[in-house]
Amino acid sequence: MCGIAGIISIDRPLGDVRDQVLAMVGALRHRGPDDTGLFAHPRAVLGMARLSVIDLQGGKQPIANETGRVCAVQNGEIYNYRELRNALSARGHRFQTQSDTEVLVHAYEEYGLSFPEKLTGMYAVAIWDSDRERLVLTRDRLGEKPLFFAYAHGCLLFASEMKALMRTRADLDLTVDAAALDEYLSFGFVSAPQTIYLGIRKLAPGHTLVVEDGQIKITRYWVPDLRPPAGRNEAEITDEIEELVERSVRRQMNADVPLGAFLSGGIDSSVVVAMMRKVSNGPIRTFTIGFDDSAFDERDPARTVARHLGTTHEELVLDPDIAEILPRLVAAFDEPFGDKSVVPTYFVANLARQHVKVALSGDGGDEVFGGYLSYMDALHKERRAKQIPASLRPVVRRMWHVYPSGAPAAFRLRKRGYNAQDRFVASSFVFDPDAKRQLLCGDVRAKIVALDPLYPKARHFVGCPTSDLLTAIQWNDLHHYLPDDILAKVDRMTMLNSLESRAPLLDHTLVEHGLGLPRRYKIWGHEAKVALRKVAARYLPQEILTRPKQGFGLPVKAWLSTSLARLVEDTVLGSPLRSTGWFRQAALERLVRQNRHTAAGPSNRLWLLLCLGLWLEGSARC
Amino acid sequence: MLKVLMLTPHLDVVGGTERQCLKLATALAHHGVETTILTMRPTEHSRANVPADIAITRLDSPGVWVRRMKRYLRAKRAISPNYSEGRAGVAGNQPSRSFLRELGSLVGHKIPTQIDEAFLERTITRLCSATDVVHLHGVFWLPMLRATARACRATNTPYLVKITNEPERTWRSLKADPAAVGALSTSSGIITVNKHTQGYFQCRFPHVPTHFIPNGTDIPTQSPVAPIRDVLFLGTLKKQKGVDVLMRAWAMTKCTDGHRLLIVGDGPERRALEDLARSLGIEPRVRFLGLRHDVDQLLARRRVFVLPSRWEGMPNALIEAMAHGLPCISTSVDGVTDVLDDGKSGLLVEPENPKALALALDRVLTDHAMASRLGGYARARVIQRFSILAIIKEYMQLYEKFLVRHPNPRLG
Repeated sequence: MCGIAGIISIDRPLGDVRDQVLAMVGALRHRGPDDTGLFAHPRAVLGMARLSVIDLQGGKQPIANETGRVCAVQNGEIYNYRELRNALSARGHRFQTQSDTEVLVHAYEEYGLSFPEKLTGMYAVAIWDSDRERLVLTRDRLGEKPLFFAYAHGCLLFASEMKALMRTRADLDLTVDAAALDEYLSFGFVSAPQTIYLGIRKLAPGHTLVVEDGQIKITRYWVPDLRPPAGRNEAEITDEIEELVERSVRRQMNADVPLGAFLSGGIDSSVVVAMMRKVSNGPIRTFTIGFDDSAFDERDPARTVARHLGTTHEELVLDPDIAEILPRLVAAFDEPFGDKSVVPTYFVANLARQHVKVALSGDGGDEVFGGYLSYMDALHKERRAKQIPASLRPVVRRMWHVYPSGAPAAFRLRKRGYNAQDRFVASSFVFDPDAKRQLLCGDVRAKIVALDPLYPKARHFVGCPTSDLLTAIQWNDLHHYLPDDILAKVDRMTMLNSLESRAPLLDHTLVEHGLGLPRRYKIWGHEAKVALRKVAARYLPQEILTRPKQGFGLPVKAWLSTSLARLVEDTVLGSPLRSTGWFRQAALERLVRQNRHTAAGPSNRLWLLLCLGLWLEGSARC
Repeated sequence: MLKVLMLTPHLDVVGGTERQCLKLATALAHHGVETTILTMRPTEHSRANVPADIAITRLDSPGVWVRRMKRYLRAKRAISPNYSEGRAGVAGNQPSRSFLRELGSLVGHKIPTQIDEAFLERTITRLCSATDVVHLHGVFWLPMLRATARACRATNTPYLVKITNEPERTWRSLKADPAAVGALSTSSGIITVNKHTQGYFQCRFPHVPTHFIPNGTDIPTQSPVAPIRDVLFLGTLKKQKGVDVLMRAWAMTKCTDGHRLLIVGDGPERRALEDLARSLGIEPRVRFLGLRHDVDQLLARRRVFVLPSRWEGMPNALIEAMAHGLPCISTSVDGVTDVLDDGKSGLLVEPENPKALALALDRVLTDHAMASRLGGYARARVIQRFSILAIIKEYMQLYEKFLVRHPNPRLG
């Protein structure tokens, strides 16, 4: 787990940019406080800040091959490095260290540009090949590790976080992208390949970027291949899933430093801890945070699981000075990021870091096994839509589109004419098009109104190989919500604490099997994640299994009108948002008022604007 | 049979982009590709230049912009020979920047494009039903880009966008319009004519495959070998082309006896350049030939070709000169470096450096063996990489990828 950065000239010798790469690495020190390294070539400079986890002494980076002509830096972990190492040694490659990064160099030599297909893990990797004068950047399949890049003056710059790119002297285009702002207002984050800035891009998960012969090529190396289960009955299918989870947990428990797990009391993290207990006899440390307010507290179920599995359990009651910590959390993303669960994630990572350096989590379980309430909702709506006779459906659908698109409440009415997939996208809006029309003003409003509001998320349905609605929306979340919201949040919040987080449920083989399950093993009646629940039933007490899903329970509404009230006043109604000229002041004031005075106030919307304001304030200060 | 729909705002203004479009369409038609060009109401002249097997669809819009555009072009032709009809010289091939700006302001802002865009969209949608791939040439007219994107999305037709201008300039005009940016990001591919643009756009649209396919040229028959006397420049006389640097260099060369510098083309800088020639005292050795329509004949003589540009997109004139086997001298700027290998198929000097340019001129004018060698290599390089046949092959490969159509789940 580290931070990587570099500058590569596309086709001519580079000036001396070592100091710039060092500055970039300096901006990433929180990701890797243990060590820094630099590699320089007339055409390329690569740098990295390291958090030592595997081969503490020998695993220094950058790491080169036998001849020193191929050099790699990596952020993340390769979980199958031992298997790869054996295979490569058998083919005559000589290894000097025990680190997983060295495997990358030799795998690249052996398999060429297809080497990421051989890797299992979470990684963002940069490899410089001096012989071919070729740079390879690649990012793991699910997007656990971030990688940003920009093109300026015939150079490609890349880094693990955007703040590093901004430390260079390169003249990057930092204009706010109206389409990205639109996506943020719709969904609360900006997804790859966009960032909030026009001149910086994210490398999308499962993609490889190659600079060679004066050209830049970006290709995708992994598309999930849905695998239907081989088992014929429930027990066999449960065995299959359990074996995959167990294998993934076993691989991910490899570390030369103390290791623990986040435990929320939900199915996902509990199954992960149960598997840890199964494969290891040593002590296991688990971490939970909770609130005094019992409506949001998850400490009890977590404690039950911990007692049942015999882990060393740590818990923390959260009573943060949220107004003080929030600006720091928002700044970690370098772009607006509106998922409120950054707060508990930060604190649980902070708690875990006091005891361990690596923590396993249950992230991805909901996407892979079908656990979100919104999935049930989508299925329910699909059933209801089918009550209309098939021959009438197109007519009914068209009917709603007679209503003019620019008229009041147009979206609310017209979305009734959407198909099931588009309806799912529309259901995840924070600010729907009607709300945006009221909120925005001026030039930005005109630009955003002209865009297709569904596009940022709906585009991920393209290429989905199945017509099953549930699989399609899982597929969509796997490409949109998971990498750019959940995993971005986990990465930034754990890295802010210099903690490495690993997600065993996001092993790509497990993901492919999870998506390929028949629908009744995902959602059946009111039961979600059926297959994973069956695995859990073998190891966990009944009360955990029957507990209703809590979601991310956070007392946000209370925060916004108490401890954050001042901050909201200053940020949302104050100069940061006002000076942009994007928003109608009256609309902002109404939002604040509604949140204060109505029970089901628009706390999500207000939170989004608060985070946007904090980001604007922070970026103006830089 | 592969069916391609090509879109270009106009065939009337014979610029590099339009000429390439026509060249490509002609060559594709010869290779059995069914090609349709959709353009604004073409004139009799452009019609005469198009082979019979290419269908041209007229864009007889009831909208205002066609009429305004015609009036504008008529006015433009009256004041400047650059936009005359006929096989324009290279000078006319590059629409000047001010022209593009005016064009942009004319069609992009002042005219109510809403109706016209809708009309354009309907027309493209209609044509898409009989099309495998849509190919848009140039993005300097954004309504066409947006309409193409919408029409193609609605009909699930893949569309390719060719970027012919300088990338920075193109991006600056694009980024102000998120719908245009969106149109590029939903395209099936971006085609660029130099490597710099390729990298630039690949990094801005990482999920869109971005290809580098240079402009193609016809390969003329080899001209007879004869000693070189003249130096030739072909292009619009504007700051970008750096003719002033060439003049200063010409004043420094040692080869003064009997060698002439021929400057073909016209443009805003002509008066200033003539004054410069006078003040440098090289007037007798420089000839301004103005706009010429016999470019091929000019290139067919043995001459040194010089292109002292400050920046370039894809220098068609340079490629044509190389195709004729002329020894070429140019500057090491993006676009040129993709075409010329220094010391092999030509000489590259720094831009804005008359001294270096003078040295290079001296070398080529005195060393006949080297001049022939450079010319020979240049011609071989063009045949191998920039001949229209080689380019067509690349395009065919690209188009054929889209023959298998993926279902669009959004249409359910």
